[in-house]
Amino acid sequence: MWWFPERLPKSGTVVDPVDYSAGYLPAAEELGRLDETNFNSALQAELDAGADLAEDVWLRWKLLAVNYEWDDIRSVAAAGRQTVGAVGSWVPVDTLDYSFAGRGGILDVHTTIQCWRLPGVGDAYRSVAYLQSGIEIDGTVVMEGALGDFDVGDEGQAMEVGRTGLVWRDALNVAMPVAPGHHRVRAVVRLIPKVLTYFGETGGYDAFSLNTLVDTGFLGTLDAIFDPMDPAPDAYGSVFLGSREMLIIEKT
Amino acid sequence: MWDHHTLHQRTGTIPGANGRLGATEEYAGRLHNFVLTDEGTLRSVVGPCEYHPRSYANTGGSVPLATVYGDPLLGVHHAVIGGRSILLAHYQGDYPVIGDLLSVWQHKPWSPGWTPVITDNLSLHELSEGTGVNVYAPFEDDEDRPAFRTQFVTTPRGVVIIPQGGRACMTDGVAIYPFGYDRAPAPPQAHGPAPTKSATGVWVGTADELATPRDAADFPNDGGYSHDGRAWEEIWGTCRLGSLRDDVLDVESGGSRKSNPLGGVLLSGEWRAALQWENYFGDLSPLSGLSQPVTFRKEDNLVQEKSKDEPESSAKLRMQVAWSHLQAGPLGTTGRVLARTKDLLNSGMPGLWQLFNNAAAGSFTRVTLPDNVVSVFPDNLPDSWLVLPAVKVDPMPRFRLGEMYDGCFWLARTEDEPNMYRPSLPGRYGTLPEGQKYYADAPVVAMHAIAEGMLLLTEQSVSLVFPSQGGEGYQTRTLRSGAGCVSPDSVATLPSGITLWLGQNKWFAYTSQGVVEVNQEYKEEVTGRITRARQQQAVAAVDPRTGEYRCWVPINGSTTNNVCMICDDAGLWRTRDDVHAAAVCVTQDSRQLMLALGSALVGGTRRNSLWVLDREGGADAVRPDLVTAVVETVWLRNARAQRHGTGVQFSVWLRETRDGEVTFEAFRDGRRHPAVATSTTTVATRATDAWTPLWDDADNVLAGTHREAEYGTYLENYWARRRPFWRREDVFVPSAETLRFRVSGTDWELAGMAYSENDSHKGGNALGAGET
Repeated sequence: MWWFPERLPKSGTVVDPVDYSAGYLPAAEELGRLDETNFNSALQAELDAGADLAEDVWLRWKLLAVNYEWDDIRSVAAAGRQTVGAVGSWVPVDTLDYSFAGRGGILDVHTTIQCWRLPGVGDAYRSVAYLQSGIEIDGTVVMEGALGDFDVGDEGQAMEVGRTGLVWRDALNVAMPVAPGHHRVRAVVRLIPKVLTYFGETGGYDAFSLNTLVDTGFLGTLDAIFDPMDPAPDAYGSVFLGSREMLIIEKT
Repeated sequence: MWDHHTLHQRTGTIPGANGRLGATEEYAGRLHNFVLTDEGTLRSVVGPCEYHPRSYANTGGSVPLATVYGDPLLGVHHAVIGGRSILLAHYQGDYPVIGDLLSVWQHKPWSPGWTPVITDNLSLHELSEGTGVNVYAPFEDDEDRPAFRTQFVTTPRGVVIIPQGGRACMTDGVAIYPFGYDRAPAPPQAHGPAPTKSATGVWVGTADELATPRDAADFPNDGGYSHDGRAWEEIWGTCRLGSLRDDVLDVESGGSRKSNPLGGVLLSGEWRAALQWENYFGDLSPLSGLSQPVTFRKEDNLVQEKSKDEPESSAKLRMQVAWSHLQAGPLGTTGRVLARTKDLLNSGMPGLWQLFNNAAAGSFTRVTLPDNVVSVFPDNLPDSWLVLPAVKVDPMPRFRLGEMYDGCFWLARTEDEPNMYRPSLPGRYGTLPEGQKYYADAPVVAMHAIAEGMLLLTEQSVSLVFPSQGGEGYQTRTLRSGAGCVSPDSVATLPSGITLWLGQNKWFAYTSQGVVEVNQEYKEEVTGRITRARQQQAVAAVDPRTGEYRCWVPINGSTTNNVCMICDDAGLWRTRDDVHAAAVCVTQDSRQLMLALGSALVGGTRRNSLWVLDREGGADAVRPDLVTAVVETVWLRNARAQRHGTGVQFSVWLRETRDGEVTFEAFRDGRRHPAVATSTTTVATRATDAWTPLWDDADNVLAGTHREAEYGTYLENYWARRRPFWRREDVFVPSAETLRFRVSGTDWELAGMAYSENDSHKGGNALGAGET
């Protein structure tokens, strides 16, 4: 609407590349430039009065994804699916990994990850191990924005120690100022054993499930459950990562 | 190229026109509605299209609602301030709530229409909210009387809007406020010590003070707003205001057995203050009048001999004062400068100095009070800290003309002094330094910055303003008398540096050869017909793409500008009338569009809008009627008209544009009516003897022209430039003195013309007279 082609192709006009180029150029020029012309009325209200639109308003974004829609968990073998089994260390999430050179400024990263445990065993495992998820910037997990930051306080239990259960979706967001230069942003998850403080503590673990597991002999001994150094995945169950995406916005 | 009986006079390219009777054949007689192309040909004007297209809202896609651009159309301007694109137009519009509104409107690209920013109903609109705030009366001129158009001047801080007859204001696209200050604040009220006993002997003071009256002679500053450092803890130090003499020792006050063992006297002193506003755009108001003085009386550094008080340093006598009733400024005020004298009785330094609001640092803070709210300022600043003189400012008058030159905003043609012009402070474009005025020989009509200085155009003459060789102020040199200007908007500078303007019935140019008269050629067609009563509304701009100077003027008694005179960098003139522009500007962004606020023919009726010139616009744009481009030769063979000749053939060198035709006409013997030959059928605007790719609506984009017709097989596709070709029109104009040809049509391109004739002279075979 805001560019004005010099000539439009009309019935009976002689086809000429220069004429048509003149018609396309304004649009091409407009797309190459970011100013308030590119903002709609809702967005422009957020622009400060003092904003220098030639310099201040500048952003670029990158979207990485494996499926945008909810994965059908019944088909375990879907493409792009990732299994997280080992306990203890942060594991990069496949595909959600982006390296770039930036101008510096605020890095705004959003991730969503669909997670579930194997059908049928979720009940058994849900109180045994937690999945924590976070965003790693330049090799360091931003714990302030991670699910499972161990910041035990007024937050929900999931925020403190991670997520458990059958099926869920983690949505994370961190905003970090970064220096100009090369950066790498990754989504990461890790599986940790449930931390037991004492038996029966509310929120510490699910007593019913624990007893069930022991009684049925599914887990063997209690030692196997509470030994955080035990890397055996079958003791804690695996978590599957399905559809997931990461949006990185660089604001300068 | 001559031969004995046949003349071929070729005019290869004819980018300029000359309306004179005896013009040489290298010129056209008339070139109308053509634009010079990059290849040196002339192509008929395309467009215009609406800048803000008609709204299709709430119509169900049927009849588009028109944006109202009612008369009078008074001005348009584009600027980029801080990366923000600002488009302003002044016209009678239709606002959803208020209705008809003569206003300066701002066009916001993200918004569906125009927002009023200054209106004639005493309102100045906050741009962000669109609500009216009654501030002042900007427009007296709410009808379309002959007058200069509304002036706009872009400064680094914002656009100055100068309505003719109204108060100027300034906007940066976010806020709009009156330009500068037209009045001064009220003086502040002084608060200082007073004697404890009045001049009439009455005890004055607070109830506590009166309960224990003290000797008025020994404590002459204890009444009123009395704050010195004597009652303070030592760690607090002293106050800072007051002049001391420490060479006075051991003064004894006989009556009360007091002495001055450490010496020191607070001298009588006097201070005054004045207030000044500063607004959003950094402009200063005039200083207020001086306040009443704060007065200190002479006071000895006494202690009572029998008291247990320790003698104190005389510095404890110093005091602090306060200034109140600091008037808040009008809308747009963001800070206030409180200025104060130094000790008027002792410092020996006259003048006002800017106070600052922080004792630790900041002696160069922008303003004393960075707000428009507080009304009291406690003043504990010693004279020695005052280093910034207060700026003396004249109030902003009402004026009609403005220009940026040498880092200053120049204004001229004030109501009281039409001959006067003056600069602002550099960087403070609405702040007029006190007394800096210059005067011209006649009322100023235009100011225009050029490389050498600033052209000052009056009704009578043109002068050059440039920095004074003395190093202070400016001086003026008259370039030419009698080359005055009639319209400030007619002044524009070509890319070559030549500056053109409209004078009384003629155009002038400032060139390296000085001021010269130009464009004698169109006197009969245009210049001589200008509506003199309306010539001050002529508007001009230079198209960055073609380098053309385009000046719209009213002719033939019209009250609106109805024809555009064009002068290109080569000094060649043409005309066009696709838009009757009341105001014109060029966008200062990458698009470099030429915008005209005016009317164009849409469906046979004139329609006001803001038009983008030379652009056809999008497919859904309102499409004005196609303009007819006309070329006429001069009167051919006028140099040998005494020997009759017979026009045989007229040829035009065209360039392909479309599958259409142009009209051909021939005239003879100095009469442009009736045409002796007219043809509309044979001069096609595309080459018919060769394959020409044509665009079409049919499914196949090139409508079959890119396939071989007989076999239906596709030809190899390739891009081809539009090619030039010759068209010959046989014409028979027997035994004429002079010949003239006219070609007219829509969407066509002209490269050159030629004609041939048979000389009617019979060579050497004619019999002599009387020899039968």
